[in-house]
Amino acid sequence: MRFMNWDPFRELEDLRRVTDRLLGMGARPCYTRRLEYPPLDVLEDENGFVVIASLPGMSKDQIHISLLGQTMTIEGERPADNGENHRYLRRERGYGKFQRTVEFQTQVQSDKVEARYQDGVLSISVPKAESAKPKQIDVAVEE
Amino acid sequence: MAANKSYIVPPVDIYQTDDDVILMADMPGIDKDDLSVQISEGALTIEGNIPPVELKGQKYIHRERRHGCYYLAYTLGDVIDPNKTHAKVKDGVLTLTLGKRDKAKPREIKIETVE
Repeated sequence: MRFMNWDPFRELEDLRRVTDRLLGMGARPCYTRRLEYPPLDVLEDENGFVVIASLPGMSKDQIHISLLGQTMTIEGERPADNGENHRYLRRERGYGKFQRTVEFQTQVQSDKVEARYQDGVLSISVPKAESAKPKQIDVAVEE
Repeated sequence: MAANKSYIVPPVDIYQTDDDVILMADMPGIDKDDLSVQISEGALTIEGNIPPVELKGQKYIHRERRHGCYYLAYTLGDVIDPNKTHAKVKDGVLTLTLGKRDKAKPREIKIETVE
């Protein structure tokens, strides 16, 4: 399993750190964001994989899943709140574009991928190709 | 709150409008029934539980997501009216609207011109 990341949140965090250093505010307690967004779990059994992503506050049409060969990409954009009269006291929830890629170790059936979004959690089930499933082979023993 | 338990502190946004203070917390996987929001003597406490993924014979081959108990606590001060508070959960995001007391709302002061 290999993950490739492009992470706008990390870039923002880096920018903030550099700015803090320039302004001499490096000592203030800082909030460190998770390095990769969204965080993923991957489950496997002999029939396939389940990829679970924590993506709170999205709508279905803001999330795009694509599969090319054995490589699946989850991408989308979390919109920023643009309320005119909102005076922020604290802003930790990230927003912006995200993308994560999962590379499966076996061939998968791209036409049988199913995705579900509930309570801010995206679950994608990806069945393995028939050729990648383990097969029981009977061994005839000659006596 | 048991000392030997580790808690997840969700990322939050807090902003003010003229009438309310609004708190939004990312709690992916949260169900309304597993969440409690309490205000007592000026202290706001948010607790929630995210149950682990139900495994049906599968094994984890990669794991980044956390599950367990969410916990947040704030001191509200006397700006907030506990009777003007409501909470909702949608798509794993808790939105808590805390109404301000009338005395804490900004008041427009008319400027008269003297002629």
